[in-house]
Amino acid sequence: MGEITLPKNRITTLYPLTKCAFSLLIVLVAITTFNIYGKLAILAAINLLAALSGVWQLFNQRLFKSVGILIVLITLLQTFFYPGHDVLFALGRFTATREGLTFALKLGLNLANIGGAIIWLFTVTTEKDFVLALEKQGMSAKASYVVLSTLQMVPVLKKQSQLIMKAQSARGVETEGNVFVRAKAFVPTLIPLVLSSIQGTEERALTLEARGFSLDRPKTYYYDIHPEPRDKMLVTATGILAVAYVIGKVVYWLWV
Amino acid sequence: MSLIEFNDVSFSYPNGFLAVDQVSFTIESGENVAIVGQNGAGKTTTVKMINGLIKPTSGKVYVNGKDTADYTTATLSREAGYVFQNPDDQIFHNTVRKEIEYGPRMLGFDEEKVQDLTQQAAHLARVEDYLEENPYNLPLSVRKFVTIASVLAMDTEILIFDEPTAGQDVAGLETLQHLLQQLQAMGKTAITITHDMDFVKTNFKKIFVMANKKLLRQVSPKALFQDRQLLEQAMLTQPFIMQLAEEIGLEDDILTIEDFVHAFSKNY
Amino acid sequence: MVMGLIDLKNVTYTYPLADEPSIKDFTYSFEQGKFYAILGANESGKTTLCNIIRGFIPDFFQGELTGEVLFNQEPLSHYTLSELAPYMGYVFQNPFNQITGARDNVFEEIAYGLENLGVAKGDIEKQVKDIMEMTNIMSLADKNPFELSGGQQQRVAFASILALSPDIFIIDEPTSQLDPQESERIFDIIHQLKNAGKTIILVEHKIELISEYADEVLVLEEGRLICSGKKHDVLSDISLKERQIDLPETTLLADALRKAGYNIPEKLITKEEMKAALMAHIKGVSQ
Repeated sequence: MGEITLPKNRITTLYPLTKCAFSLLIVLVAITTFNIYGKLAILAAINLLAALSGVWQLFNQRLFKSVGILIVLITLLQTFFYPGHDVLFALGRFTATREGLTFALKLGLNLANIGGAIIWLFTVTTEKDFVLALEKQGMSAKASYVVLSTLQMVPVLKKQSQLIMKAQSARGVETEGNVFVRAKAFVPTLIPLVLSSIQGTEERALTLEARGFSLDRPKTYYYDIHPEPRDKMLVTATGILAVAYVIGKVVYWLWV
Repeated sequence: MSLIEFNDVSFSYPNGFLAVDQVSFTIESGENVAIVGQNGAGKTTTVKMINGLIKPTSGKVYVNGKDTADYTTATLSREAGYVFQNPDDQIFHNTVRKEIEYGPRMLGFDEEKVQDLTQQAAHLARVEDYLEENPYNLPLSVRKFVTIASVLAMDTEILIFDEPTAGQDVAGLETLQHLLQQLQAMGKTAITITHDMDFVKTNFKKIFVMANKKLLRQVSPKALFQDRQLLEQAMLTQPFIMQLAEEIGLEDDILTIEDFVHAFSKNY
Repeated sequence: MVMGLIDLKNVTYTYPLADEPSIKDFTYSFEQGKFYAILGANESGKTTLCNIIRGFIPDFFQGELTGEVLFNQEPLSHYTLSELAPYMGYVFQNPFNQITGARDNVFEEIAYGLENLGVAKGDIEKQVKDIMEMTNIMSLADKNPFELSGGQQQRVAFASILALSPDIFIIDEPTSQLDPQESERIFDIIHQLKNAGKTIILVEHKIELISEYADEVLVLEEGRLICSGKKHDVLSDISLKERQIDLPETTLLADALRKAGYNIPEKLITKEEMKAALMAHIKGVSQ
């Protein structure tokens, strides 16, 4: 959280729920588009949106790290193993088919589009803002606490696990070496990590109570965000667009 | 060759932060050494280089003739046992007994020896009464003794204790004192990091004073507490009894209440 | 009996699954504005007592609690844990566990309690700044609380409680994990609390600090209150040494000097008091 500073522009400064509406619209279109060119167009549109938001590079890095590798893997497997007759080329006893490649590309593009819509949202919105917007929309304070504290705890736990790994190696557990050696060292690392974080949970819960966490009265938001008039307009527009799209789609199906 | 040898050892973290700056010393077999100094002085980083948890970025560390750069921590753990500052980084069994047995088992000792070592270690750390308990049901101060026992059971020649006195009550401090005496009698080499000057003055003859990433001096407690400049450099304070003796004009080498009463009755 | 700010009457408490009570028939009246130190070996019930006073027992920890716990003459059980937040602050031993994780910078971490109380934004700003100055953590304002040292985290924990300006502070071994310099800073904060007239209930092993700052001392042994009173009366009692209670060096020295035949005045506990007594003796001898 907060490691990368967002560029401030017309898109990134939109209210989190506005950006969320955009993202949902893209997901809706993505799951109802079956044509491969349509899918490609959607991917291009997401890229354009990312570029307009000033995060094109970061967006693509994240997209590749999350679904990119999966897509490459799927494409390879499906191209060779999906049943088909139209042979493109052969590698030993494996044959690549056009049907396989098309299927793989469609699947891969679906992943990229749906994943991309979500990744774009969280590249232009900090988790802090997103959770705050949800909390103000009526999500419980407990739920928002769980999300925020979990996000904060991940790097802390990572550091802690490295420390525990060291403590284990000082007791004769071999932690350096090949995958199997390290896998064997993994369990002794995990247990103290889980146990000490459970221990900490009890005190942290009491700490929260000592700060009035469960008080049943209106809270102040010291760090606060508000939707602007343009946010209202954009959400309405997105909604209308979504409805129009669904109606158009249904009509198209019935007629064609 | 000495048991532990540091030749011009420095360590910097990958980000360039220098933690230990050209430290050289030797520790002989059977010595009992305290390392004192402010936080950030480089104490923990220095001792972590003894069992290879950290490898020097320049200089050489030899333990029992082995260049630590050539061995993994797991291998060096046969030479030097290290008790971490926070017990919760270390404990991972659901009974104290299993926790203590783990080390000697990992070292491949036969069952009889594992049992003997476990019993002896539990006795020395005074956790015999808790052997069947879950370590996480014990208070932090006792958990620390569980980790001490589990390292003792590995029967290494060298033992390193990082802040064992933190959070201990009178009984806990007594156990530590007794433990250090026993280790001496067994001919073990012990290295203890501590902030507790009263503990230092009664339990050690040799003290390494560290400040600002360097080893300033190796001194006796009397020499340390008489040397105002050294104390100031290392940001340490004199023991209470010594301060009082100086303030009322007694000799400046008074470390214990017995010394004080003796000097006072000689003068007044 | 005089009614105090917090009254415990015949309180006995047993943790779930425990064979024996951790607190046995405890009766004491804590008064407003006094600094109480609780001494005792590990596992003698000090933390348990703190948890009872703050209401964590029996609200959070189950088990069996008998007797009466009154806050301002009203049963403590009439309040929820969060409702007590503006009245009673609690500082734990482990600095790390007191970072809520709800906020990603020190300023907002300290403001968190005030947000929950619904304090106006402008007031939060001012109050948090004042508290940060007092606890000397102004320079940490934008840092992530999880990335601080233990000592810094403990100062943030104090600041977060101070922000709620409770009258009562329950502080459980705040320095046992810290080095001497950081401990010193925490003692400074506690000293400021005392000067501000807060009621302080402190568990601490560092006896020289207690002999300097505390008003009253309570001694626990296996869950029982074995001794309590003004610090000069309790801490000069050499018989506590055999019960594994840490006593000030002055008390031990006074005992040794008395055994050597010197006539040392009673009830000395600090270095300054001992020094004055010894100087008086030296003056008497040289005349």
